[in-house]
Amino acid sequence: MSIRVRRNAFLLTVPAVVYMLLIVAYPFVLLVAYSLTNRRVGAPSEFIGLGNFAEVLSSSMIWSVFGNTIRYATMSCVVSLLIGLVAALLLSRLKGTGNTLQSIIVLPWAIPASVTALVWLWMFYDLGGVINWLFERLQLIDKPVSWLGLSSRARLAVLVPNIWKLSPFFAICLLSSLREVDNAALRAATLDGAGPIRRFFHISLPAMRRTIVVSFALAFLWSATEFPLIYILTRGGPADATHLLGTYSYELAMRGGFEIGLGAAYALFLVPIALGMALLVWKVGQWHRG
Amino acid sequence: MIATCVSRTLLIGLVLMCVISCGGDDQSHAGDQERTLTVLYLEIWADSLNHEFHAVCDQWAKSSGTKVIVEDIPLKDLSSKLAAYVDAGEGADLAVFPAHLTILYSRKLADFSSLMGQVTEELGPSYEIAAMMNRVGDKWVGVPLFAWSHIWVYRDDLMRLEALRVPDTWDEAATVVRKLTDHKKGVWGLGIGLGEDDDAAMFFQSLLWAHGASVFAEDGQTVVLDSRETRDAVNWLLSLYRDGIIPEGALGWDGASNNRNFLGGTIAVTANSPTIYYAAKHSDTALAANIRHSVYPSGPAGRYSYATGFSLSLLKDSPNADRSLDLIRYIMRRDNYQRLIAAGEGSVNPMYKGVDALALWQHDEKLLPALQSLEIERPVGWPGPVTAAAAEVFEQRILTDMFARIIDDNLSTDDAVTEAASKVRAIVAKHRP
Amino acid sequence: MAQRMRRPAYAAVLALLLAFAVIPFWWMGVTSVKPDKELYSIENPLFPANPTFEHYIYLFESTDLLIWLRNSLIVSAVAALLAVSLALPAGYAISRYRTTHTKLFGLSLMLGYGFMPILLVLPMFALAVKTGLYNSLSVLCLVYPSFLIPVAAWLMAGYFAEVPVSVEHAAQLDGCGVVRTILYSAIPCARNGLVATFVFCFLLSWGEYVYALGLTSSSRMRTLPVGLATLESGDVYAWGSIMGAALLSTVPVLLLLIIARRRLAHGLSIGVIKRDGSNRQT
Repeated sequence: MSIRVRRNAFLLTVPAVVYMLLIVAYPFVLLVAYSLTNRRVGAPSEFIGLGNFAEVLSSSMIWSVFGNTIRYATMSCVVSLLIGLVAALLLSRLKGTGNTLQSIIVLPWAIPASVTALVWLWMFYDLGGVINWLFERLQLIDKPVSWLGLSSRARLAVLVPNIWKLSPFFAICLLSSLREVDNAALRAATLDGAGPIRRFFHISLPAMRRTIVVSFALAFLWSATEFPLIYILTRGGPADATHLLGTYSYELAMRGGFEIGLGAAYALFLVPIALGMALLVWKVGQWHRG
Repeated sequence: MIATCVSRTLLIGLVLMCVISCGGDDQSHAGDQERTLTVLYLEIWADSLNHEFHAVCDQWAKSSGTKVIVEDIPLKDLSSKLAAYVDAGEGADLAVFPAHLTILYSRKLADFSSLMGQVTEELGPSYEIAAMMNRVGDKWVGVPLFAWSHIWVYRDDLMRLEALRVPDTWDEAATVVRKLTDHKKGVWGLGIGLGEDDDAAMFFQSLLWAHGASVFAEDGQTVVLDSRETRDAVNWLLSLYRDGIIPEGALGWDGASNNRNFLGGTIAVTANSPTIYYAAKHSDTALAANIRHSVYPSGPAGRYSYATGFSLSLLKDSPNADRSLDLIRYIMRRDNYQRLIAAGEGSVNPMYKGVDALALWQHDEKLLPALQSLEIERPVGWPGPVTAAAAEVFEQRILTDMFARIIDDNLSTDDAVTEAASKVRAIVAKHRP
Repeated sequence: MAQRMRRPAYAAVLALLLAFAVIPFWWMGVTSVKPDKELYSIENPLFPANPTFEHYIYLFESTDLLIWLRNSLIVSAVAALLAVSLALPAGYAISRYRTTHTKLFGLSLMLGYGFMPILLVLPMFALAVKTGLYNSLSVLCLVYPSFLIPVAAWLMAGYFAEVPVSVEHAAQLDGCGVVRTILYSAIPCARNGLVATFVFCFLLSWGEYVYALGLTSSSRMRTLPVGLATLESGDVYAWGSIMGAALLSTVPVLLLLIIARRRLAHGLSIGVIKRDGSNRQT
């Protein structure tokens, strides 16, 4: 590798590196610093070492919140992936697929999350929301159900907008991936007598593996760090049942006790998840060309 | 070709949208720091009051030659914005503080004792509740602005149908709401928000106090939540919920849900500030005529209701302190203050005895209970003083969660109360000096 | 025979999925034209009996909707531009040069992506106040590329990877240095990808909530997602207006998607292994 090439490579990345150091690395260092203090609003802050982390780990909240985060992200992504896969398969059959159709399909994913949260909040209203109205008409329920008021239902209810949002994302990604599947291989398999299901599982699916893994990891990351959906739908309630790590950390720091140190400590528990998923994306995604 | 034309048209449409949106108010940058004051203001649902506040500030701006920027902040964002302001020490020059936050941040706020002397001369002595929420020792850490009261709101027509009178005690209230419930007609007797919003937290405090229960003892340190009185109070509500008198979904209601359900006719009674009446007057006058208010019922231990007050305050070493104090003085001038209260149309109470609010509200008798509440109002932490721990207990919705745990997670009343009490003790331990 | 019978089923399922995607938007529209009385009632008819535009009038006259829209447009465009400019050379380097440096850089970029806004909003707030940038559009434009650059660089690395090396060799034989090579041969070939990246970044900025919430306080500085959410506050029951604003806020998104649909359709191929340049754009 010539020195010139190395120099070029280095110089080309400098702008991005400088930016990320300033705007990401430095604040992160500050965040870690906060987590090591008992900083709260309106009071002096002192260094308390790992005191916050001890408090976090000994409280009952961390397990439920962490569990919520993992469960929320997993369930959202798995269901959305399946729906997206079905949609992609169906869409791939359309000839002259109409890119316009794709633009419309991807709309739920492209609109701001707070808009999604608001419209679903409105639809989930127990007295007068359209979902209850519809279910009552269809005789699925006999009186208005509170979707966001009881913790078990709320945990499921907050999944729905996220699934609504993520399915199009998977659909579009998987669609373009499907299109790249080697037609020659598919034709050969058909000639060999393989039915559509076998063709799918033995040829198409393995070829789409990378896309599936990468889009799943991204969607998982987005779901685990979701904020406006949860915050606007339930504020983390009822009784902290739907809190994720991010929303709980924010609530600790900006509401409640205004405990920035403790909030920072909770937020840091997101780091393993975030790093894990980011690593996955990097490993499996295509960075280099042979 | 057609596709390209369509594309181009859409592109032009997008550009046009940009241009149109630039027609919005042009943001003036805070260029000249010395001659600009930034005010963090609570955006109240009474639009008229918000406009009036802006108008008063603008008037002062003109007369003093200082620019005033009033930022409207919705209530649910207010606490965090104030946290940011107090923590950073800058970002605004003065702000409207929910009363317990003045106590919470008292160390960092200015001393308004002398200013209060002038204000009480103008407007009369302040109500006891105002002092409770703004005074630490002898020092005033905020200038009480207004408060909104929690009162009970009834559908008068439905009451008359059942020949019911406005209840005086909590037990009477239970009977009334049971009689008013008619699921066939889709009417629930009592529609209290039991969710994350302020409504529930306020209601629970009043419920507990009336039954002789409270979170803190008079010393403000001892936690007395786990008592037989608390259990009685909780069971009062629990039996109504379990018997279907309260809509199941109330656990998930936000602040506006009970308003809406009352206005839509699905609940007959609720506890709220006069905002429902305000909304009805502006949209459905027939319903407004059928609204009746009363103060909170009285329980074994007396009659109490929770007060949420708001004050003007600023940081101790604020650079523009002099100008900010001047603005506060202007707002609290008798004519200006009266303008504000009048514009509220009953949605907020004045904090000074010298202000004849009923006259300002066109002698609308329906709003009398709101003023009567002023005498029975108590702040968070009562019977102890307003403390950081008490404020946090309120913000963390300990009482609301306690109830939710019984309904949702099938805890027994005893267990839920005990759990809530230990949560409170943990909070108190955190705040020990 | 069997295949033909299955087609209506496919169409039905597809229609169902499309309905699932589109119904909330339709409900936004219906709600926004219903008068308040209908909105309060428990009977929530599917079609408005007396449509009214009062909510939209309220939105334009009594809220800062237009200001929020303008702010979002500015911030999203500037942030996306900034991100793409910073990420473009980086993405090129990652795809073309396989030095340890670029590999490490690629890794750290991705790891940096993991530090989502919700993680950094607290220290970012403190920094914004310290530098006097709090409550301005500039701070948002400055901070947004932090979650855009990793995605942009990664996407563009993929697009540059598809540009046949032969084209660049030709340019280099003609005496172009690195910069010229990029400017005149790599970028034109990866045009679609660049547009797709820009649109992607724009959309991500458009929908961003946490930084916008934490780093601004006045209504005039709010972006659309945050401003919208403030319409639902306290005892105010403004669902007609909220849904109207929600619908309005999806219009620019839809326009953008439709305008860029050709390039997007080509572009959103994450992780896809493109074969031997058969899909190269000229």
